[in-house]
Amino acid sequence: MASCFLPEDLVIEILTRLPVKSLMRFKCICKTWNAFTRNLSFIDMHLNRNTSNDLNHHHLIKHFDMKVNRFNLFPNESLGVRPQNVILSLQLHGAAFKVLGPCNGILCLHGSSVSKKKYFHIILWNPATREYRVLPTSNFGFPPYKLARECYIGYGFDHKTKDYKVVQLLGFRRRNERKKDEVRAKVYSFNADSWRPTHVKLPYFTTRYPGCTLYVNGEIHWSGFCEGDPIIISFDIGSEECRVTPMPVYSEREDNPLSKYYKREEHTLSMLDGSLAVIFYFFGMVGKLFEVWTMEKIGAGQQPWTRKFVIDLCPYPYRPLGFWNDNQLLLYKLRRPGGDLILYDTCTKRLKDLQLHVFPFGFQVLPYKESLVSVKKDSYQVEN
Amino acid sequence: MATTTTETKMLTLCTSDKQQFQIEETIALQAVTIRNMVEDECASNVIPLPNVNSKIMIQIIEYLKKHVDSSVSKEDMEKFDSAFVEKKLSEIFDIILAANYLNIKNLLDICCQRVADVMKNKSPEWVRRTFNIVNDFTAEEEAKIRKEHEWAFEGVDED
Repeated sequence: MASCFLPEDLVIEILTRLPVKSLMRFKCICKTWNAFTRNLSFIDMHLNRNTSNDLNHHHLIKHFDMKVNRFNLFPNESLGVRPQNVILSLQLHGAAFKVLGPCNGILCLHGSSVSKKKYFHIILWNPATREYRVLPTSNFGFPPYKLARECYIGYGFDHKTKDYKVVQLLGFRRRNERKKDEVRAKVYSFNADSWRPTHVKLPYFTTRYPGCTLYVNGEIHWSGFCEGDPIIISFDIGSEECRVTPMPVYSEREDNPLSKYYKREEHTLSMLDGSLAVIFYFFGMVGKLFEVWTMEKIGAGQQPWTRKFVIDLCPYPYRPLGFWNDNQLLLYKLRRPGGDLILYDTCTKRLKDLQLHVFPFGFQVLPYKESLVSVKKDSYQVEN
Repeated sequence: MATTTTETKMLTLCTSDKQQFQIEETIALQAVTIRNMVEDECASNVIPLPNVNSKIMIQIIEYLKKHVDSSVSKEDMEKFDSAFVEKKLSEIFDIILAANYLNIKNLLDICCQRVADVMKNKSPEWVRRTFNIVNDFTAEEEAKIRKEHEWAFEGVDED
């Protein structure tokens, strides 16, 4: 950086406060500035700066618009502001594409592309730098099994090894031998760019809602059913150990006023106060009601569930999508041919229309903050 | 403001252009560098600050005086801060250097943020001029990097 009057540490102090787009534009300024954006400690500093600065927090809304998957970015602060379009550098067709994460600004997309031939893809994508990596397929199987009956994908970041991991839980069934049904797992490591099998101790489970997976606090969670009982399956991204937690029991007692009017029908996974939250929703004669529980990471014998609150939105027939932040719940209001997004403030109990019409298929909303983290191979500069 | 029951202790700061500033110790001690000098007792009555000139010192004292006042609300402090950084970038750069030397973290933060806010939609040419950076890429290298990140040039301010 020839003849800049500021010392390098102060230049870094300034540059780590810039949006990713500006830093991409400034790559051509000089060799030193170009190298910053590939330097791991610079990337970390930029990421942590973003983390502590609420202004850089956004929500990414993925929706399926007739033929293609679209992404919109909403600033957190000013909800009245029109959403930004996010350009996906690859074409994703098919409503079945799911988005997981993000972890440090990296999203994991997976699904089947219906372009020329049906093909299952898993892609890691950084929307801010527009870089993506298509994951290789694994070159091993789980004999004697051939085809998995169930396949659940999870994604998280291992802080200890600084590695992004994609997990596949595969459910195998044996004809006439139900007792031998089992779950096997494989893990993709971002750093190694390859798959390996990992041992998991899990009962065979199914899930009614394929979108019901969430990475919170070092664990990937799936909601499912094991022999008819609703459960949460949690996979620790570091130790790769699994645990199964039964869903909280809904009291059918006479003294519970809810039991008279409402029947627990469905649920959504979300994050609240840094924990996994399950939002149950009830349909009843008089309207709708949401019950929010959070699950803590605790030792054996302790009660993992806390019943946080009940939201009575009667008479609005809205469906909860998840927490927008700790006191705002995002709702889906049916308005054919799609629906509108509504924010409900749990403190003021006010509703606010986000002015975005979305289609119900392939719809997701994720908290998002941008980063410089590269998903390309060997793109980092190792420091001396 | 300072209490009236005890005698207000004063410090004298001497800038690079040999100007002396008498300020209350509680105000000056917000600068970690000055605090360390006072605590280590390596400072006599006059604290020399050879890296700060009087023009910048006046502005830094204005900032420190406001920030020592605990009666100012968070909102008012933010208003003061955003008005404080409404200066020419050349001046902000000088304050950054001084705030870094004097070790006043919040002042460094708001000034760096100000520079980032001003430059975020600017062209590479503007940034090179403003930071006095010599382009060490060949024309071919530069063109290649620009081409790879063409999208980042959308919506750039006119110089």
